[in-house]
Amino acid sequence: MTITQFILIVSLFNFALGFYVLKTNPNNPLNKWFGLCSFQLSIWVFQNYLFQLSTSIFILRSIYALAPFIVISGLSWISYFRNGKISSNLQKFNIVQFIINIIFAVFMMTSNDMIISAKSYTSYKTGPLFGFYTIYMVIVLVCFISYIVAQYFYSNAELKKRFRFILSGILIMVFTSALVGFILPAMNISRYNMLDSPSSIFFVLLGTYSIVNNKFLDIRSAATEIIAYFLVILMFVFLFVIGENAGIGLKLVLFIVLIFSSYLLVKSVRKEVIAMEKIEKLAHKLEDDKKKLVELDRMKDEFLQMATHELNTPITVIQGKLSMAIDENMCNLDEKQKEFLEPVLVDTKRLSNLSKDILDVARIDQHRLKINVAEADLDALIDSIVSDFKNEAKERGNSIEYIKSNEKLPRISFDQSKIGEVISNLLNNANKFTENGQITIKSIIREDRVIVSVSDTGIGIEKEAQDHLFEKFYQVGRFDSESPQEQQGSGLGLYISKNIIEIHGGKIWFESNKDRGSTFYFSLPLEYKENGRNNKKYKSNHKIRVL
Amino acid sequence: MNHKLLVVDDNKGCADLYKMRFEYDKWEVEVAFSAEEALDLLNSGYLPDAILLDIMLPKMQGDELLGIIRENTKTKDIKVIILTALNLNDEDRTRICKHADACLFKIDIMPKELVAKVDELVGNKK
Repeated sequence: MTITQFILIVSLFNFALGFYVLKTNPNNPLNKWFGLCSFQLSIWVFQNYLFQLSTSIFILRSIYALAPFIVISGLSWISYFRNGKISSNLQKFNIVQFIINIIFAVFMMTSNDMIISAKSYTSYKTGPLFGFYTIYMVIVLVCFISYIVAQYFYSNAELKKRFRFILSGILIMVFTSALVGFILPAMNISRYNMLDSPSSIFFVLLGTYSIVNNKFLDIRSAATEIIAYFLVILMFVFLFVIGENAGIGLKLVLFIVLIFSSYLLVKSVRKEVIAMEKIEKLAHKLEDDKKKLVELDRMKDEFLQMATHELNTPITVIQGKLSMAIDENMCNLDEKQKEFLEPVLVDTKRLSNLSKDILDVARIDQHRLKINVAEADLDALIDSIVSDFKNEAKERGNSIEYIKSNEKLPRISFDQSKIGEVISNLLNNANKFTENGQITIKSIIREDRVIVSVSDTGIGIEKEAQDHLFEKFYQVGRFDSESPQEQQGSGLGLYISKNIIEIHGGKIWFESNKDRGSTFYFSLPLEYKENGRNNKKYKSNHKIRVL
Repeated sequence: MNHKLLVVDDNKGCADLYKMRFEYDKWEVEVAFSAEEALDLLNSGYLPDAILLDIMLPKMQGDELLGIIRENTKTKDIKVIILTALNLNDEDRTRICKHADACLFKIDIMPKELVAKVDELVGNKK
């Protein structure tokens, strides 16, 4: 293969690389500017190739006319690469360059003051203005390289890694150009100076790598694509431009590229088939695993249900008989006997609540807690719970009052049983930590929500406990020896309440001052949305049921 | 005349508890430890005013028995109170309890409240 053919191949390769980068993301300015830069370099190298074929002064002039424009697109893509934009200063610099380039191009193409005649690649006669052009080119090239170096040093470690490829490409290109264009000719070796334009391949190749880099697989697929584009362009040039004049070297290159691309194609098809088979196997395995997991989940729920059922049955009997003996005095117990048995009844009730709560917590944790949403009267629900709760409050010397919203609460969509559970839980807590005090429940409408608050004049919550209140199994004063046994619960009520409210698309929060009482609030949306909390976790069925 | 109650529960402790409490309030109580036993009683002409029905029974389940009771013209008007120790989710509760007159969770209701509830259902005024 001759040097001339090598120059042609470099030109086509630059084009293929530019096309590839542009195609990977045509809307990204970075790819657009890189594509433009590569196309300009490809044309520039192709002009050099043409000049090798026919020593025309017109082609030589066009080579010099085009060269400074490449710097503009080069600066622009470097700027996009580093900053994702072009700074206004660079924009101004590019505009000035563009105007000067146009002036030089016009002079270059029309005036004999630039290039007078051309005999060969190394032998042409320049005019008096060519010196200005040379100085200008040196200045813009210095600016270009300085800009890249500066951008490199201001980049972070990750970007620096990618910048190194660009920097290497530029340095190799500059070094090769300097070697074949200045150093070797100075030593009277001029036959290689036609290699200065093909050295652009390093800049384009490493620039492409810096854009598409990172993963080995990406690079392999990029290489296959680039070779395919290169092959198409080469075939085009071979058939329509060079035709019969193609030398054996070029034919050999075409043959090698064809073999290589065919090999890559066969290899990639084989790999794809193997990968597809693997994916299919994995998909089947995933499907089986999913079925197993669903089955395990069902079994777990069934086990929990059965376990709590087995617990609940004896609890029912113990609790029922104790209640008959103590509350109804069916066994004619004296006060001492009652006093003795009462804590057993309290603990049995705690045990029964714990059994219910554990199943609820398991359902919450598996995202299987269901709510049955239907339009209902929240006011009436609170009224009925408060009315049922009066006796319990009285036992601890507390009075309870429901202050209704000035504005009548509209009927809203919520799960009556679950929201009832939340209200009862908040009232129970208020009652538990208040003695001879006041419990007040209020409802108000705020914008698109109804807010219910439960306040008490009880002992309040310690600051350090406040951050943990909604955590599973957290109990205020659990390890406090002064905390009476009957004040202790399962530590699950607030956790369950929080989840119930959040599934409804509401919020739960509190304010508390030590020794001055606490107020717990929860809000519910006036208009219930199915995906109140999180559609990914809780999917609904046709009855606005949230799983 | 005293009201009649059929308790269908395979757990002897629970059955005894309800029998004891309802008898305390002058109810006449029969106990069946399985759905089949309950069906035999009903087919023999025994017609209670109310049935306390557990869900988890040895062979035939409580909800299945309820279906049979509701299909039979003689028994379809008996007040049936499902009483379970199963912590059902709302979906299952709706499905199982749709033909019952009341659906209660055993550990949630004290015997005295249960009697009051059944009294209310059968219109037993005190």
